[in-house]
Amino acid sequence: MRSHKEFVEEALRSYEELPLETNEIYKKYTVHVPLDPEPAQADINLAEKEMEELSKEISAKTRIKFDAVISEHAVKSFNARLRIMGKDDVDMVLLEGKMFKSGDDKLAAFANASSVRFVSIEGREGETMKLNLLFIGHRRLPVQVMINAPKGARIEVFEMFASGRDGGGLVSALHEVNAAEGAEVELDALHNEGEGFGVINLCKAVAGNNSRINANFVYSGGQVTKTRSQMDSAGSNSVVDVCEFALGSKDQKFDLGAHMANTKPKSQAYLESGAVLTGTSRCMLKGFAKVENGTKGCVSRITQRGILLSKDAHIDALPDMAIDYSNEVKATHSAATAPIDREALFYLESRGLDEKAARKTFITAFMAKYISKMSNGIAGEVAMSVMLDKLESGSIGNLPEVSTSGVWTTW
Amino acid sequence: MILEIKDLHADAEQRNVLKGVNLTVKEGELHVLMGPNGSGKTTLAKTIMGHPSTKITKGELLVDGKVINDLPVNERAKLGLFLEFQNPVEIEGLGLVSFLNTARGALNAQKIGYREFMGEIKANAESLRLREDLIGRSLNYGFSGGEKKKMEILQMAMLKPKMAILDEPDSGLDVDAVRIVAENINQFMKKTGAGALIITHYSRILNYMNPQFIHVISDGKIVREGGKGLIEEIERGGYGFGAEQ
Repeated sequence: MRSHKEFVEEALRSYEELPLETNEIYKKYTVHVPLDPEPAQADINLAEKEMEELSKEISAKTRIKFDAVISEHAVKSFNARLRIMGKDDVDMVLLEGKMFKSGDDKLAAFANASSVRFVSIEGREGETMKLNLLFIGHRRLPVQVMINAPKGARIEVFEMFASGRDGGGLVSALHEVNAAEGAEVELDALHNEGEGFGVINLCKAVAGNNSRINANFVYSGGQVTKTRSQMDSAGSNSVVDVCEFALGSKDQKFDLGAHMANTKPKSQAYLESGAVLTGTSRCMLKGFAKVENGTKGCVSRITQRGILLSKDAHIDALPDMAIDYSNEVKATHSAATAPIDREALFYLESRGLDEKAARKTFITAFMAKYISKMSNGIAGEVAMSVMLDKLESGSIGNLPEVSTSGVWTTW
Repeated sequence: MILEIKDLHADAEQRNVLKGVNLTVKEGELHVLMGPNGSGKTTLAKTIMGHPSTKITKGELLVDGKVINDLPVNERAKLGLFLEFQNPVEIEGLGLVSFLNTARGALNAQKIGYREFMGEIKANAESLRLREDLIGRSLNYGFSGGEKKKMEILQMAMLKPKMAILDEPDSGLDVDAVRIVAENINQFMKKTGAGALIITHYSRILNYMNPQFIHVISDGKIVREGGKGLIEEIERGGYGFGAEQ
């Protein structure tokens, strides 16, 4: 067995070899989040009592009953099906066996090296499982979430990240998602960390035959956010549908990268990325689709859209594709960034909305098309409330009372 | 409501388009504005509603005697003006029902219960032969050209303006849809007593309507006015009479 030091060093090398990191174009567009692979002792321990109080407050505001609350130094689980481990509880051999089985699992290697909390979600054949997880930390919270949906299972997970409401720090989350034949996984995540926080979100997903994985990531909080996803539609008739959305204000920075792959016939891989930016915020939307040989009848699509609400905000939309097989394959990508459409504003104003309401309605509609992908209705409402509050107040990481009266709702 | 357009000169996209338009439309009246391409029909509609690309350089727009030249777009809507767009905007993510609810609130429309509101929408959709599933979708998103035009009429019926400016309500519609849209406009005017100014290239929609006033615009000016007989004249000889008249 390798030492921890060797493990960490290999993990860092692996990370640098990721396809998105070695891509010459993407290299020019990246942000740096300080990555310390060795988990340092937190400056401030979030005591269990304090964590409970905070989680109660968040539950009350969001009306969500969380199945588990996870922080650096305390864990509270209310669901027996959840297995939550600390670094010391995890056998390195077990981890290596689980996470390195493909031999090139760079993201897993990287995250394994730094994670201090491990959440294991194991579904049961043919059963549906719904979980709400809350992650709160003071300074540093590297976590790893493993979701395994066996044959015919459906697993819905909503993750809410609400760290760093009183200072800076780092949250890193790795997801490893596996959907076996006929299984469905929906992973919804809302990042609403406080100002000054670094956010890293990594996701590795593999969809087997006739399975489906939906992953919806919404980024609102934090100072610098960097994401890397490696999503494989790896089964015949499998679907991987990824949505990433960032709402930026002040000088926030987002580097959202996803590597999509079709590896089997009739597989489908979709990436929809969007951003709304104000202030001097910046967002890089990087989506790479790989269509592998022998994938007859597969579909691959990347769509990137952005709205700039200030002259100093900046979006780089960088869709890219590598198609090794072109017989009966549908592969498309598109990107568009613009200020708010003047014609749309006029249209809304002509129906009685004043300019401010028209702008809000237009932006809300734009955000709703991403957020409405979350099938967990309450999660969607929380995400929309957070973003409307941010648009209104400009504050980062604030958690308002959840409202259901926004224009995006059905009624 | 009385909409008066007095010696209206206006630029669109820095180009002088309207060169002295005079027109008065009263509540309950149905006016038709016809004219060749590029004569200023759509610019007039946009100027009445206050489109930011238009700029009034001379003359006045009045609603019930009050000058509205500088009134914001939404305030014009609150006075009771409604513009049916030639090319309705698609807004993905904005549900039609919640949009209509928001718009009714902004226009201070009479508050009604959810059931009554939905009943009204469905009744209007049925009258327009619009598929019910379109009601639950994003505003005009992915709609066909004909569905968009019908959706504009549905919005008009729901928002109940006092004066509707309908910019080519018949464009892109098949024969049956033209009749359906015309019947719904007639029904709306009869029910509410609203006035309307219909902009059109073709007389087909007018076969199902009974306009009292026909105006022909050419090169930014009204060059002919008359009753329904003028439509036949245009059908026979086109707009050839032009500016010399």
